[in-house]
Amino acid sequence: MSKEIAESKKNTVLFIGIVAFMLITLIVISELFLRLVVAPSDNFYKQLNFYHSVENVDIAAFGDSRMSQGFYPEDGSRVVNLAYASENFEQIAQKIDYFLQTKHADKIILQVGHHMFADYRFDDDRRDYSVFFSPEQPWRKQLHLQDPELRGQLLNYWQLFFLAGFKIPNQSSFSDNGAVLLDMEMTIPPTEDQFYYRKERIAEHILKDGFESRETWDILRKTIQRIKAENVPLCLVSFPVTAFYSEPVYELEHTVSAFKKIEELAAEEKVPYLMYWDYYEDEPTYFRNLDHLNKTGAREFANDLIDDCGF
Amino acid sequence: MLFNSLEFLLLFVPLCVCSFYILARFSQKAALLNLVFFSLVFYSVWNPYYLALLVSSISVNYILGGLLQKHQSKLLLAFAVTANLGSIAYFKYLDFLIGTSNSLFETEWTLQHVILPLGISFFTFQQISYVIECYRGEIKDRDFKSYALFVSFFPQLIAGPIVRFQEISHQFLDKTFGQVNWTKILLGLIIFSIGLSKKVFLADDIAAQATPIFAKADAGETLTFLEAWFGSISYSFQIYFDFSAYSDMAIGLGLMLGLTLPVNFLSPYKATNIIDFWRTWHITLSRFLRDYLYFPLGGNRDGKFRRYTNLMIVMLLGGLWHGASWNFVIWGGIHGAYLMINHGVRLVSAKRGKPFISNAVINVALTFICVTLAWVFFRAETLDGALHMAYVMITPPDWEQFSAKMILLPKLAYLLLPCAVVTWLMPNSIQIMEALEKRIQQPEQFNLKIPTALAAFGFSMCVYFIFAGVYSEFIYFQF
Repeated sequence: MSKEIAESKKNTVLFIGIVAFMLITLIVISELFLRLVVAPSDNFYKQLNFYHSVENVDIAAFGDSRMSQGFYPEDGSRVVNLAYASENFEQIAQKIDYFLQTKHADKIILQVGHHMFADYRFDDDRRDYSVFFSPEQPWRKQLHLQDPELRGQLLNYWQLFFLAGFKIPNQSSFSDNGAVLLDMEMTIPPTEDQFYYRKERIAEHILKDGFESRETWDILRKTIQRIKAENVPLCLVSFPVTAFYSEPVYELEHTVSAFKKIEELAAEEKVPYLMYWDYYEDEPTYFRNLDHLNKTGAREFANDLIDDCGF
Repeated sequence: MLFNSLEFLLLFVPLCVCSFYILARFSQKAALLNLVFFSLVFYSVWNPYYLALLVSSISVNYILGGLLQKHQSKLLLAFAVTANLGSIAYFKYLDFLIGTSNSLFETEWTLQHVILPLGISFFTFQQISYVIECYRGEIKDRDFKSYALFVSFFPQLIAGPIVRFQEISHQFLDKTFGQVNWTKILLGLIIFSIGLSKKVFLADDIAAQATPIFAKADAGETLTFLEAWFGSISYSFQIYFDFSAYSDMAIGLGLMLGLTLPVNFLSPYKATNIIDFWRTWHITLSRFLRDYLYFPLGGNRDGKFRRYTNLMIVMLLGGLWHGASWNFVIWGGIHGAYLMINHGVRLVSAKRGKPFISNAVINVALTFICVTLAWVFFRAETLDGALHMAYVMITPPDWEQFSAKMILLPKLAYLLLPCAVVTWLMPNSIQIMEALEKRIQQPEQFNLKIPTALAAFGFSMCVYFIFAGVYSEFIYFQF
């Protein structure tokens, strides 16, 4: 073998060796980073641990970010908020199913809304809730790198970690009863950024033709029936939003029909449905942004909601 | 399957390369068939149904090539070319034609929404060149396995380079085919890593700047002068790094398998005029259009008027080749006009005995500005969006507004800086490859450990970034 070929062979082996070493090192470091730094400050993992710690409660609330951030029950009460941002009905249904298998709630509040039928909620790269919320909790035996949402945000976490001085900052606080709370207040009059955010937010939640035939409606109906079968009183709720958000959304044809459909479903299943969209129309200080309550609004609203559900 | 997907990088390539060399120890034929197999698997991952289209297209063209070799019939050649163009017309242009007819003649034909088979423009063009070369009697050794691999060879199947049968088939039949060539493997790994790094660290990064600005233009929102230029310059870098990255990766993959693919890019943004730009941008497409369209139309043999007409026809059709939209035709038309002006200026300069501008930096800048302006039509999804953006770019801005936004300039320049440095101050991948090749030949004098380690570092970081969720398609896949 000529020297040229021998050198090339050596360098090829060097290339493969470096790649193997770097990939293994990066994977080990990333797993440690996610496990020891990211997960402890991540609201999903806080919520997950909280969910598994809950056993018997008076009221359990399920939903997405509007519920998670907008329902802050009194401390010390046996009311828990088990919602998490951006969950779709499939995930919520699964969570409720596991809850009913092993835990007990005297009553359940379930958030519903047109936005929960939007396309992006059904992306492929979602967390498999059977891994996280089933009583066996297989996630505890898995790598955190296997969590698609942690892995997908890995580079952002690294960036945050270095920019914030070797920690992961978290703007929200996690309450004892599972609510994710934010103290900030929406700027009135809305800023240019909020107009942009509204446009984006409305666009991503526009329902496409044929949304009525989504399997999600069946999942919602079956979830309601499942809760009723356990003889647990149920209350459906649509959370308050600002007029700045609701006014243009009311103009959208599919949104109105989605709310009608929810009303019809609630009537057919004989469960109360409380539509609170305009509830805090004149209270912009209760919101952290155009469609999420802040800590003050969440406390105020939790009390009203529990009363109005009339359990 | 994408070149920048984990399954391709960590599973497909190692399996393909290893099985290729193992099989080649026993039989060259088996190694060749193994490459055909992997190429078909590569294609079928996208859509298994269209695999039948690829296979039947290969078979039909091979048969037609054989008949043309024997009979050299013009009629048969016309049939072969028309059949190939017909298949592109159906899959790529049917809805465009229906839509145009509906809006021009108020017909009410329904759009068919045919799914565009991946890489159809590339593999059809290769096959057109093959049947023409068969007709001309330029192809001597015909062999179905080689032909199937020539068309389906996965590094170039989906986005080029557009290869000619003769420049690759002899490599399949060479007695060294399948023999482990460590020098080529090492070079292949390095060039592939350069391409992957260009895609992950430059193209995808700069895309995040360009995309929202074009989306804004397409949505009918008003752009500022600064925004429009920033968006279009970002896109100029994005498409260059995206497409040249793909070509580098294809060349690198070829080398890993001991095969040499043609060069597709040679620092096009260092070109000092549009003629040079087209000699260094998507070289294999320009070559195809020159040899199979421009020359048959008469080229520059029948006077200046015919030459310019031919140039314009070639560029308009070249634009249309990229996609079924009037925006692409306009893009081609703009480049046709640029080329005509460039040839005109050259003639006048030759008569004057000196160029109008002799400073190379100014010429490079002017060429880049012209190309950037044209890219607006290539990138925008709507004609209105493109026209608005182009209008804003060529209209002098309101000075008060502009100076108020001047504060953003350093930030914007900072975002573009890495791309600009790589584009204008660094050697291109081919120059790097040639330099490495020379150094490899002199192992006593040069040590390749540092470039190897850098390439391995770049490759690993790219894989990590992809693993962590940075994933995007190559722009030229849609063509």
